[in-house]
Parts: sequence; structure tokens; C-alpha cells
Amino acid sequence: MPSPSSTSSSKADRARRALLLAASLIVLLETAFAFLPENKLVKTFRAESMPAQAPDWQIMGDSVAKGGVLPSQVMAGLAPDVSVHNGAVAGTGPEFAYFMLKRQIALGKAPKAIICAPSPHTFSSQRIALLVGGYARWGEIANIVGLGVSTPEVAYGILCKLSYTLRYREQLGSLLRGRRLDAEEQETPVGGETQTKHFTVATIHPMYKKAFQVADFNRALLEKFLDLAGRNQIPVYWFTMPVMPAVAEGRAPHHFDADYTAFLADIKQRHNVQILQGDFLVWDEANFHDMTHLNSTGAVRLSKLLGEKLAGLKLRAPAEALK
Amino acid sequence: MLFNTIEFALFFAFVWLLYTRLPWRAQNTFLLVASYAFYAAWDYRFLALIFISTAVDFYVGKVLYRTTSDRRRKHILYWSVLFNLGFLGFFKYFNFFTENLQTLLMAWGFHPSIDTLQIVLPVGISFYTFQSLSYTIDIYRREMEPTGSFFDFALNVAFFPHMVAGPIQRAHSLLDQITRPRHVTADNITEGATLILWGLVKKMVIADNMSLIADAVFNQSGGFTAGQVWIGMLAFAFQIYGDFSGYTDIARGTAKLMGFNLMVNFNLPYFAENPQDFWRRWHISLSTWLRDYLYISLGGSRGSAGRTYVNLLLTMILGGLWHGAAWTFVTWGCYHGALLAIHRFIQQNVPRRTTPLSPIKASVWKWTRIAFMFVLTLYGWLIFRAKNLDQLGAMTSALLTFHIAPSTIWGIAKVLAYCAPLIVVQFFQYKRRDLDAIRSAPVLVQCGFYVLCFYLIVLLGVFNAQSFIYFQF
Repeated sequence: MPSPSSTSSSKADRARRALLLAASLIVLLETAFAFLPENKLVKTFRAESMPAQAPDWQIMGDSVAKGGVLPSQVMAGLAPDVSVHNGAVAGTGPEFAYFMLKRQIALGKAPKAIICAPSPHTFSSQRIALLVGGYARWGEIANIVGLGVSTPEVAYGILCKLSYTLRYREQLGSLLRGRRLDAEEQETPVGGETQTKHFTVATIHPMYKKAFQVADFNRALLEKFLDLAGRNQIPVYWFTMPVMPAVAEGRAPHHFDADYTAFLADIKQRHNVQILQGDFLVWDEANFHDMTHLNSTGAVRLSKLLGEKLAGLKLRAPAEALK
Repeated sequence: MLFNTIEFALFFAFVWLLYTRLPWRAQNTFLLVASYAFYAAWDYRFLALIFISTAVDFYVGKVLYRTTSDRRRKHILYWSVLFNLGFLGFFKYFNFFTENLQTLLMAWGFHPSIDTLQIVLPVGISFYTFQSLSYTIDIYRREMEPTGSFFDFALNVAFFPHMVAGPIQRAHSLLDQITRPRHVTADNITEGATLILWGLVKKMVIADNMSLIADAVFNQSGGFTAGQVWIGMLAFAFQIYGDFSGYTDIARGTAKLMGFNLMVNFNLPYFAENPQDFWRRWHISLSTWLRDYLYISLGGSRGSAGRTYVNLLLTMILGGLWHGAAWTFVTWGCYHGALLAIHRFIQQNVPRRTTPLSPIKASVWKWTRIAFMFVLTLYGWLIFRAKNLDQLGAMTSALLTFHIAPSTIWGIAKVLAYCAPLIVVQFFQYKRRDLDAIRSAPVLVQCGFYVLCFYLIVLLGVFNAQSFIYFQF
């Protein structure tokens, strides 16, 4: 009969071997998963799903711009040889634009001009984990750390970069819960159904009832993005996306619009950014799919409006643009 | 800094790496600094409170030990208890008592103007106060000698794995480990790592997902159906268990990685067969504290039967109040006190069966008792979680309509599906009569279990760090 101490030591030994085996198995599985394809969202950001040739105009922003700007509608009002590419990436903030443009330049696919149309509500959220884990290359992580971001978030981002399941945990978790893939939903233009719910200030999301804020990290990367565009003589045009009345009303007490206008004036002055649409257009709910995303009616309306504004501009060769 | 965050993982990795390289005495000093830094991450202002409480109890312990006069010793103890409970009472109960006093006086026709204060509750005050009290009471009872080192005592109070939510470690047990060199063995590391892993599953996969379901029910303004209340009670039962026992497992695991042993705080509580059994399994460190320092001090079961019932009821009411300043907690304590008293009455007055039951009948009887106790516990959680007594009344009325819609079955199935890993593991532990049953399983079974735990956390865990329920107590 084994003595209690030998039983206990064999138990400890079993547990130790099991833990080591489990850790090895997880490493093995994650290494194998690394060969699985990345989703469209990541590919778009990594500039892996760019058009064959550098576009003339490129839209940059988040899901609001991704679903709200239809290149075919914008191009309808432009000269036949002018191309428009919607390079907005759902679920990102302005901080992503810098890395995306950097890659496009490296690939020789830099657009002739950029229309920057980020949702101002994304300026306050630092998506560092997503940026590091999903999109940034190892060398770029050092750039991000250098911008004084929180170490735990970068650490989590690095874990995401190492683990496929961690990187896609939300999508895979949704599958396990029997739901549709959120990221794939965001990837396609939102259009289609008009939202049936009526929104009031009381029912909109709390994020639309706050003051305009720009996180330091986002500001730093936005500056880098505008500098990069400037150095490469790519003109940047700013386009402010429309909002529904409840959202406009919800943030009015917080002087959101005034602060946003001041912010735009500042970057216009320092970076030679041209403002195509500086004020928030307030469109009724029939143009929206939910609280912020346009439906197909709204997207067509917005794209035509953008097309008209671009038609009035003469797209110049990059060198000429900054004269 | 929550246990289920990257911040804590980085903090602990730093502490552990340095700790394991230091000599024993320096380890203690370093752990004290790390514990205060951990607490300061919550709210540095209350560090002074912990320090004062620690200094007073350290000094009182010394004086108590030196004093020979029983009368004087009793006086010193009273002042020490009053001091500790004074802090606790002010921060935790001041507004509750002033508001209720005002209501009472108004009911009598007076119109007083008593202001309540904007008081911020220091995290973990109930835990470290009880921990500190056990030191002075044990010295008063001559069950232990005071420690000569202030830093050792300060570490005993502030030791970061258990400071904010227990287990409420007895002074002699933890001090004994602090005052001797500890060894971080390979066995400590594997046991600690498995405890942390399982604790994270309980917290992030079970508790935080159950909180979404429970909150949806309890945040309703009214119009409850019996089915909704059942789903809410069941989800909250798993939430609070997963949350608190998950915290305890992580606390025990981190302590284990540093060579410390913290007490087991939960022993399969939902397998309890009666109220007494439940309190031997649920929050063991609090229930034994209440038994040893309150129930026994009140006279315990030494007096008449009636006095014993009163003692039980009083102990549980104060235990309920320990959780927070609200009538729902008082009612919850009262409910459990009543259950304990009724159980004791049945035990002492209903004659026991003399002939043994057949194995099948005994098994059916045992599982019937477990199921019945589980339902009683569920109702207890309804009292505990209700926002106020009005909501408790509305939900109890809904429960009594017995209206169960088909969607209720779906809701309950959803709760059970999320909790399936917990239920399966606990059945395994119960059948084996071993809380450490997983580590006794064959290597491949254990390996599969750890891999499953990892992927459960990654894929189904809630990552936007939800605070632990017991941090508010």
C-alpha cells in the first residue's frame, strides 16, 4: 500500500505533468491556428485587400463611413476615370489611419487624396489591444509603446497577437453562443432596413450624451497620420458624418459641437486639412439603420452629397496639391 | 486592481519574481509594501485607516497579553472592539442608521433634520476588521501570544491575496506562516496555478455571464412572472457562488504560489442537505468567525433551547448586516437564522428513524434533501439580491402565482448550459468527496480539463473586468 506522502507526491507529479502537457497542447493548437485565414476586417487594415491600383480618392473612418459611403454612388457624380475606394475599417478609431496609410505608402498604393470621415465618438476610446493584437506588426508595437499607452493594454494586445483564438474571441464566442459573426456583419455595408425604433434623448446610448473628448493616444496618432499624409503630399479632406436628431440633442448640453469645431479648426490650421463638411448634418431617423449607422437610403443620400462636393474639387497631382 | 485583469497579472508576476529571489525576512517586508501598493491602487486615502487599525490592534494585543487583571483585560478588549467596530460602523452603517432613525422619528410625529454624509466605503473594511479583531480576541482568550514584530502583524492584516474579500484568516494561522520561512515548491506552483485557472473560469465564465441574466431580471421595475423570478434566482445563485468562490480560489492560488496556505472558504455549498450543513460549506471563514466570536460569546447552545434559538437568530442577523447596510441583508440574515432554528428544533424534537433505509431509498432521500435545501437557498438569494423589500414582496408574490411560461424552460436551460462545467466538476468532487479531485485524476483527463478551462475563459469569459460582488462588503 503506498504511503500518504508517496500518494501525495505522485498526485503532485501527475498534476505537474498534466499542466505542462496542457500548456504545450495550447501552444501547439495556437501555432496551428496561426495558419487559419484572417478575416476581411484585419486584411483591409493590413492593406492586404486593397484595389489593384492606388485609388484616386480614399475614404478613411470607421463603420459609420464604411456603411455610409457607397463608392459607386460617389463616382457617379465624378469624371469617369476617377476611382473612389472605401478604406474605412469597422470598429476602429482615427488612430488606425496612421498605420494603414503607412502600409499603403510602402506598397506603392497610396491614394491621391484622402477623405477623413471618422465618427467623433471614437476619438475618446483607445483601442490599443485591438490595434496591437489585430493589426500592428511587431515593429509597429514599439511605436505604440513609445506613445505612452497603458502597459496592460499593450500586454493584452501582444497576447492577442500571439493567440488566434484570443484575437478572434468575440467572433468565435458569438459562434459558440449561436449568434451571427459581428465582424462580418460590420464588414458589409449596413444599408437595407430602416430602423423601426424611435430614439429619444432618454433612449440613446450614454456615449452620445457626453462631451467631445480626444484621448492622448488617439491625438498623437492622428497627428502622425496628418504629418505622414503631408510629407507624402497627399491632401486630406475632412468630412463630418450626419447624425440623427436624438443624438444631436443628447450631446448639445455638453457643447459637443462647439468643441468639435474648435478641434477641426486647430488641425486645419496646423496640417492644411481641407474641411469638406465641418458641421454635423442632422438627418431624420428614416435615414438611419440604428443610432449612428446610415441605412441604404441614408447611404445613397450621403454618397451623392459627397460626390457633389468632390466634383467641385479638382483632383490634382500630389505635388500640386499642397501648393 | 481586480484579480481578473491584466494589471493584476503583471503586478503579481512582478511581485512573485522578486519575492522568490528574496530571503525570508525581506520577503515579508516586500510583501507588506506590495500589499499596501495593491490596496492603494483602489484608494490610497484609506491606507491610513488600515494602518491606524493595525497599529491599535498590535498595541492592544501587547497590552492585553501583559495585563493580568481580568477586569482590566475585559476593559481593554471592549475598547478595542469598540474602536474596530466604530470604524466599521461609521463607514458602513452611519447613513443606514440615520436614515432609519429619521423615518422612525417621523412616524412618531417628530420632524428632525438629520443630515446623511457622503461616505465612501473603504474596500474590504469588513474583512480586515474581522481579521484584526480575531487577533485581539484570541489573545484575550489566551489562545495565542502576540507577535513581537509590527511588520509581521501588518502583513497579517494587509496580505494582498485576502485583504479585500477574505478568506477571513485567523490571526494565529496566517501569523504562524508569516513568522516562519516558506518554501515555494513545484507542488505549490502547480496547485496554485490550477486554483487560479479554475477560479478564473468560475468568475469570468460562470459569474460574469450569469450576472447579465440576473441583472436583466432584478433591474426590471415590476411586472415579474414566476418564470422570470426562477431564472433570476437561479442565475444569481450561480453568479454569487462563481464570483465569491472564484475570488477565493484565485486568492488561495496566488497565496499558494508564494508558499502560503489560505483556508478553504467553500465546500460544495449547493450540495448541503440542511441549513446547518449549508453554513458549514458556504463562506466558511465568516461562518466559523461568527460561531467562534459571536455565537459562543452570546452563550451558544449552553443555555435553554429558547436562548439558543435567540442566539442563532441574532448571530445570523448580525451576519446578514455584516454584508451591508440594507434591510434586505437583515431579512436575509433573519431568514437563515430562522432556517437554522427550525432545523435545530426538528433535529431535537422529531425522533430519528431507527432502522436504516435501503441504499436506493437512502440515496433518493439524500437527493431530495439536497434539492429542498437548494430551493430554500435560492429563496435566500432572492432576499439578498432584491433591491429593496418592495421588490422582494413583488417578486415573492410573482413566485406564488406558479405561472411558468415555455420561455422559462429555455431561460433555465441557458443558465444550466453556461454553468454545466461548474456543475459537472462539482458532481465529480462530491462523488469523490475530494475538493482536489481534479488533481487526482489521470494525467490526460487533467490535461483535457486545463485546456478546456483555458478555451472557456478565452471564448466565453467576460473580459471587461467585472468587480467581485464581495468587494462591496
